[in-house]
Amino acid sequence: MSPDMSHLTDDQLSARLDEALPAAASAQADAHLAQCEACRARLAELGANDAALATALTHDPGEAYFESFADRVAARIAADAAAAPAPVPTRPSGFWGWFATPRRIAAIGGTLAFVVAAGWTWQLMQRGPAPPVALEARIPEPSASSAPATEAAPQVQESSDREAPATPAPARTRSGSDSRAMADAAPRAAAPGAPPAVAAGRSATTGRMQELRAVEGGEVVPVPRESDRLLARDRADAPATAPAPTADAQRQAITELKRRAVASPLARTDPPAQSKETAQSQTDARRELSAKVAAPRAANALAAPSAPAPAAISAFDEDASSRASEDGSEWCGVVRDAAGRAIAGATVTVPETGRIARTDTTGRFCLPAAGRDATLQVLAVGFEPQRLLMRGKGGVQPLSISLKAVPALGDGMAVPRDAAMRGAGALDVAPAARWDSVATRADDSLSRARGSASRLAAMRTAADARLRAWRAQPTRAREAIARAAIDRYLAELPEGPRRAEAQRWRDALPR
Amino acid sequence: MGMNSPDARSPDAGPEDTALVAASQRGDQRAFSELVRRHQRSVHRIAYGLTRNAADADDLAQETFVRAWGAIARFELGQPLMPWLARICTNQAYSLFRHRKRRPEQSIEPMIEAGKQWGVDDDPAEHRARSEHDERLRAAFAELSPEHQAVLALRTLQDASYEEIATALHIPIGTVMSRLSRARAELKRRLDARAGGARP
Repeated sequence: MSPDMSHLTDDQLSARLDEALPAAASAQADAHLAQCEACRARLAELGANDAALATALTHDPGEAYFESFADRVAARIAADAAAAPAPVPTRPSGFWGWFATPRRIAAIGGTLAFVVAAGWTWQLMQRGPAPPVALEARIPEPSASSAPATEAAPQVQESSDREAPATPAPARTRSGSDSRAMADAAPRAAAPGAPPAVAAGRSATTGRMQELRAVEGGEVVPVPRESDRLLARDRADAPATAPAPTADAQRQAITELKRRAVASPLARTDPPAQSKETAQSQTDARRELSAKVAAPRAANALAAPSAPAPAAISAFDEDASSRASEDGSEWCGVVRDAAGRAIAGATVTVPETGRIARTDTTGRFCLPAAGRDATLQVLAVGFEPQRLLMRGKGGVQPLSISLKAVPALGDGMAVPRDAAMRGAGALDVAPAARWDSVATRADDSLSRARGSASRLAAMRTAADARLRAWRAQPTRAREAIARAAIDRYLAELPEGPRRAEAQRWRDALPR
Repeated sequence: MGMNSPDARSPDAGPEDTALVAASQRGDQRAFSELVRRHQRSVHRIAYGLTRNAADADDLAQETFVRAWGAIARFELGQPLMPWLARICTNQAYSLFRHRKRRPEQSIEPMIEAGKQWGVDDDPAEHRARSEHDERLRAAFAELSPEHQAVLALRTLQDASYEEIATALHIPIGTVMSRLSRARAELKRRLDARAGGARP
């Protein structure tokens, strides 16, 4: 490359700086550099920036820091192991071992989700928009009243298929059946091994269209449904356990259920007169209804994207706490202070999984459950850290966590701290950094402060924060900074209670 | 700067490392502690470069080793350990970065409000002692994307080779080359802008 040819590119200069160019390209670049002062200057500047960056980003914490570092890591590992006794997770060998990485599991999950979504979308596009009557059309005739549990599923399928030709959109009927099949998959799968649940009054088997229950002696009987009960209530002459009503009556009942749900989405408490079984059944009915309405809603959304979602369904879907406890995937809760006020911005961590959440303005948080025994740590500025040992897998009831405020300076010089937290090493330094940041901000506002009152206020905040930072992480550097901050404050502080307070702060530091 | 000057590097992945890794994979925590001692400075150097905050660097460095212990069974014996550790460290830093960027509006954490970035000096005495140019450099570096920060930190602080950076960041070597080049150009642009703004 001759000097009058184009200059070296940024890529070439960068690679040349790292001596990473192939031999031929390197020789060419050197030939150009030998004759081009501009490129030599650019290369020199790049090198100088690299060197300066290395200096600017280097921080030596000192020998003492590294002497205890491995021990602190070991202590953290031991603490983690105590919380979850699985020190060295091993990957299963063979075929399943291949899947045992989060990346691959995510990739497989993503692919499956895409395929299912694509297939469903294609089906919807093939069928055109959904007529609103499809919802009712999918409610078939009730199955035989004394059908044994093992026959329930095939019968339901049969009845669904049998009804298909009579509906205006037969293919849609099948689609509805599919979505319902997914919704009911879990209870049906549990049925074969389940013992008769008469004592508990719960249904051991839940068919699609007609709920069945195993009674003593193994006989399976149909459970009156919510719609039946509605009818029974509406028509005083009909007995509560009357034979299954007509399909028309059922449709009417479902419509009534929907109307009530939409009319009062939040009125979810069951009337006290209803039995436990009734409540269970009603919940089931709502879930069923929710699943049923969800499918056409999605279909309608495709056809008319601007159509608003029914409020009632949203109300069913958006109860995060109950969802968490149902699928066991999240730990949720509220963080409050001793007076019951919500603490916003508290950090909730699960060290075993590395998950971190921050509470919102109402003090609420949610994070994925660890799936095993794990620790929940809660940190908030101005409050004592708290640790909760979460037992077992799955979700839990929403937690209510109450944090104790750190004693105000002057109330007592020693800030009590949980010994277990101290053992956790790094957790100790995070509050120190936060107090440092508070002090840095106070210093900033001090530089902008007009008037002695605001100056004193800023200096007081800075001195207080520096002292707290030193307490959280008592190093010599922090001690010196805290002393300087308090001295600066004292230098401008007139006599009075504030001065006495500052003197106490000063005395708290080692002499 | 030539690559791989020995003073900036971790001890080589010699037979000692391999034996220690093998012992760690059998659950020997003392062997793992020895690995920690061998690599703690390098990991801490990267952690500080990425966080520019002693407390965060300490947390990040510890977290790196805790995670490494949890995953040591999956480490391929015979491979150099440092790029793997650097990868864990940068991944952890990315998560921290993402987390702090994603939810700043809900935070009352003064660190974020004060710094407008995730790394804030925690030692004002040291802060003042730094030269103005260093400060500009640090500020310009802090404005780079996490990916650019990581590639520059590994190269300048760890003196890592392109192969090691590729392993650590899980990207092809060609990408290392282009990303480094872009990161340096971006750093220079931001430095120039700051120098221009600083002039009266």
